[in-house]
Formats: sequence, structure tokens, C-alpha cells
Amino acid sequence: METLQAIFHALPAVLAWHNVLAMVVGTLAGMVVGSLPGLTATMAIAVLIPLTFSMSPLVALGIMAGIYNGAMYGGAVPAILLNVPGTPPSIVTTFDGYPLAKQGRAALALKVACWSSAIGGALSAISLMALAPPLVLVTLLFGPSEYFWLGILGMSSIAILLGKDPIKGLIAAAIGLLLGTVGSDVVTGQQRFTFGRLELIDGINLLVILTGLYAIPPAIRMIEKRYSENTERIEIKGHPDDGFFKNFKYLLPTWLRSSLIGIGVGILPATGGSMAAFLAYNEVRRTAKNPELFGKGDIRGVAAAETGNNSDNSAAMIPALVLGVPGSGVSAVILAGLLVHGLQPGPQLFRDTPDIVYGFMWQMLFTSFMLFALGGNIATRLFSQVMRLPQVILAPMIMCLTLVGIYALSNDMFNVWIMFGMGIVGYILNRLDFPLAPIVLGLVLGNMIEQNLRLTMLIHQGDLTALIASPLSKVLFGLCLILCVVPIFRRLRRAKS
Amino acid sequence: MSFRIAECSAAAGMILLVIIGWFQISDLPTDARMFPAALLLIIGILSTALLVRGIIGKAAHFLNDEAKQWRFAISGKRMFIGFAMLALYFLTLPYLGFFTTSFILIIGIAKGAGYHKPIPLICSALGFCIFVYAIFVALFERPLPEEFFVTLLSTSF
Repeated sequence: METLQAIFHALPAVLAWHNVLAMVVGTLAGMVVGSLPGLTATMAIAVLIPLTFSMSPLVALGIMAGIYNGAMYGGAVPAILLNVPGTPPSIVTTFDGYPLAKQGRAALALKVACWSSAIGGALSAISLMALAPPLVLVTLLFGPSEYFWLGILGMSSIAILLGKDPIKGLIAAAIGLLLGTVGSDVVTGQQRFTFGRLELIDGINLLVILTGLYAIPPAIRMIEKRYSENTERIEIKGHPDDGFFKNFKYLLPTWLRSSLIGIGVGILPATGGSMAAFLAYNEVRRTAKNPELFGKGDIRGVAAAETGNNSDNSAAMIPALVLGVPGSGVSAVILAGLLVHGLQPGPQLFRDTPDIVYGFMWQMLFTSFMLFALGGNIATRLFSQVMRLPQVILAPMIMCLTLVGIYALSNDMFNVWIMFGMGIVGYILNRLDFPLAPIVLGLVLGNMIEQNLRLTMLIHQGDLTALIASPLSKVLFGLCLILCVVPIFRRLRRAKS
Repeated sequence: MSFRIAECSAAAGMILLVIIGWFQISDLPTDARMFPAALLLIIGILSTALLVRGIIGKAAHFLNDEAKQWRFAISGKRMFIGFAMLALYFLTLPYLGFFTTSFILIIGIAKGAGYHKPIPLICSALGFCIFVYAIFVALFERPLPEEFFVTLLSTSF
């Protein structure tokens, strides 16, 4: 009952005009970013976070929620019209979306994508509101050793499961943790990896690394592709049978089934929208009476992919808000955004700033509904024009925008040069298939892991067995072990076969 | 450059950084050194594994066709120019100002990448500068390096 009161108490602040405006701007910006192949929600949020520094947390989170939901839907536009996924999860949307566009039913496919994204996103936001508050109670059982293992579990799950190669994932995670140790040690005051630079005493700002890793490499990749005229013409013609209520009954089972799959996948660490979309699509096809229609232009295929993909959005924020362990790359970046605004995830977030945390949940819900209003015919026509914007012009604009945010952090060029260095590192790591999300997660969780490790050692006078003394730490340690051992077995089995 | 060579070079580079890092923290007290030392050790061990795996060709074997088609950059020349222009942008920015350098960067990169429509290009660059000025300077009052002509005019008069 108290939780319900707290949830509704946050509502008036969310509905203040400046917060509504932030959500609208964020959703539109997200749609535009998502519709541009090569740009992702993660990148958009990474560029945006430094720019929201002076805004109130709720306005900044409103923009982030809008971008998140908007970009996930926006990815469907080029997937349907050009067979080019705007975001990684929208690969599944191309399976039926593009065949529909080739049959002259692009308008219907785009509408189905819009409705499905909105419904998936809304159900996911409701699951966030329902599941996050009770889960907070579980965290009360956690002490320093449990928090240490929880951080390790979150890190290793993202590092091992997210990329193609567990070794590279673990190296990326360790690099992130190491970058987090730069600056004065909180206990002894000793300087670590500062190379005598005063600017590094307080450590490297999370935003500098985030922007360098996520914004510069894709911008450079855009420049590498030589400019060529896009000659493909995009025809979007509506039909009287394309209405929401005319298709509602037919698509409802697909929406419900895919939403449940997406929410389930979202809560699990390191899975993400792509897996949710694939699983939802396969499940809907498996249970369909006429599965042979899938892949040839069935609207249920578009609905399953988009619902699955968007219902992962808010669900991935459940472990992020409750435990400080994000479920996906985008939620890791949003978590970084929370930290920048002084909001530490975990039970204290729900206790100290309920209006902000529940406000964010409302924002995830409202921005999903906004897709209905903003993602219609006019928006789709507009985005099909946006897709024609030459990437060689867009790329330098992204670079300039990163500077606006990073320069303002300390009004000097030091952070800008670190961002540039991180951009080069990010580019190299990206090309060599190193996942970047573990680096961000390492930065976010590094402090929690080190502090709790040292606290446990301090309490138990350096006894390492204290780390696995309690039953809960044993369980968490066991999960970490399983996570590390399973890929090795899988590789050995694959090598044998 | 093949995937194997690139991966081995990256692993070797990381081992070198681990050695430098190890010397950096060698003077620290045990308590402050413990965590970064453990991380350096992990990176060192995993990078060695990556290097060994690359030398015996295991990584390329797992990646199969992907490794054969792999290229470090779509166009090495344009990648280098991109990074070089960005570095030049950051170098000149404190002297020329944000808007002047951003305008030049947008036009320079687009032209360099083969975009040869002057009017849309100038309009886009101008539009971007006006947008940044309106939103970030006028509305949010974000500090940006001052334009050289503004400084010049203010010192002249």
C-alpha cells in the first residue's frame, strides 16, 4: 500500500509541463536516432548525459526514457523500408517488415511496429513498477561480502554473455574496473595512476569515458563510408483496413505472448532486446496455425519482433535500479546517467528519492504511450526523409556535440583529450570484437566492488574466507563460478563436435 | 592487416600496458595496491591467453569466415583522416572558438568524404551552429571556447 502511494505521489511531478516536454523531445530524438542506421540508443544517451548535467534529474531522466523507447521503435523504420536494421534488435523486424514493404504494405508494417513498440514498452514499464519495489526488500539481506559478489556477478554476466568471446569480455570488464581506480584512493588517500596530473586526482569522469567509447567510434565509421546518393524511393501508402481496432483482435495474442517473453528476457542480465525479439518471433511462429507465412510478410512477425524488443526496455532496468546491476548495455548507460545526477541505485534510491525513481518508471510508461501519438503516418514520412540525411554531415555534428558536453565539465580541454583517447581505444576494441558495455559497467560498479571487498577484509582482519562465509555469498559465488565455467564447457564441446 | 595479427598486436599492447601499470603502483601501500594489482594480473593473464590463442590461430578458427572477411577499417585512409581532423579540431578549438572550428570541421569532413553540394552543406553547418547556440549557449548557458573574432573585436575596441 505504501509503495502504491509512493508511485502515485510521483505522478504530479512527472506531469509538470517541462517534464512532459522533455519526454516528447526525448521520444522524437530517440525515433530520429533509431531510424538512422549506425546510431544506437546507447550512443544517443551517452552523448546526451553530459548535456543534461545542469537539468533537474527528472527532466534528464524524461529525455533518457524518451530516447530509449523512441530509438527502439525508430530502428524499425529503416528495417521495414530499406531492409537495414536501424538498431541491432530490429534485425528481426526485417524478416517480415521488408517483405511487407515490397508488397506495397509499408504503411501497415510501420503502424504495426508502432503499436507493438508502444504496447511492449507500456507492459514492460508496468512490470518495472510491479516488480522493482518488492525486490528492493531482498537487498536488505545484503552485507558487504554479498554486495561484492553481486557486483562481480553483474560484471561477469555482462562480460561473459554479452560478447562473442568471454576472454575479451572479461578483459573489457577489468579495463573498466581499472579505469575506475584512477585518482585518490578513498581509504589511504594515495594517488593511483595519476601520472602526476592534478586533473586526475578526482579520477576520470564517467561521462568522459562513456562519450569517448560510444560516440566517437560510430562517428568515425560513418566517415569511412564514402558518400553516395540514396536512389531508393520510399513509397508509403495507407489503406482503410490498416486501423488499430481492425487489427487489434488479430494481434492481441502476439502482443501478450511477446511481451511476457521480452519482460522475462529483460530481467535476466546481459540478454538485451535482440534476444528478446528473436525469442518472441520464434515463439509466435512456432505457435501459429500457419507458420509458413512468416518471413514472407506476416504482420504478426513484425508485431512479435517489435513487442519483444520493446518489452525488454523497462524490464532491463529492474536489476539496474534495485541492485545497481544493469540487465543490458543501454541500461548500464542509463545507470551511469543516474550516478551523474547523484542518484545511487539500490534500496536508498527508493527510500531517499522515491519521487525520482517512481517518476522515472512513469516516464518509461508515458514515453511508450507517446509512440502511439508521435509514431504515426506523419512521423514515419518525416523519418523516411531523415534517413536520407548524409551520414558524412551527421558524423562531424555528433563529434561537435560530444565536445559541448565534455568541455563544460571543467571548462578546459583536458577532459576533451581524454575523451579523444578513449575514442581511439573504443574504436580499436570495437573492431576487435571487445564488448564496450563491460567497460562502462566496470566504471559504474568498480567503486562498489572495491569498497565492499576492503570493508569485508577490514571487518574480518584480512581473512579471505569471510567473502564466502554467509549462505547468500556462497550462492552468489557459485553463480559466478557457473557463469565462468559454462562457456568453457560449451567451447570444448563445440571444438569436439 | 588480418584479424589474427590485429588481435595479437592488441594483446601484446595490453601486456605492455600491464607492465607499465605494475611499475606505477609498485610504490603504493599494500591496501591501496591490492585491487588495481589484482586487476592488472587478470588483464595480464587474459591478454597472454589471447596472444597465445592468436599465435596458434585458434581465434581465427572459431570465427571461421568472419575472420577471413574481416578488415580493421572500411577505409584506412578515411579513418586516419577522420581521427586526424578530430585531433586538429580539438587543437585549434581553444584559439579559434567552438563555432568557427565546428563549421570548418563539418564542411571539411563532408567534402573529404565526397559530399559536393555546397549549398545544403553550408546550410547544414550553419543550421547546426545556430541550433547549438540557441539550445546550449542561450538556453542552458553552457560555456564554450570563445570565437577568435569576438576576442579580436573586444580587444580592438
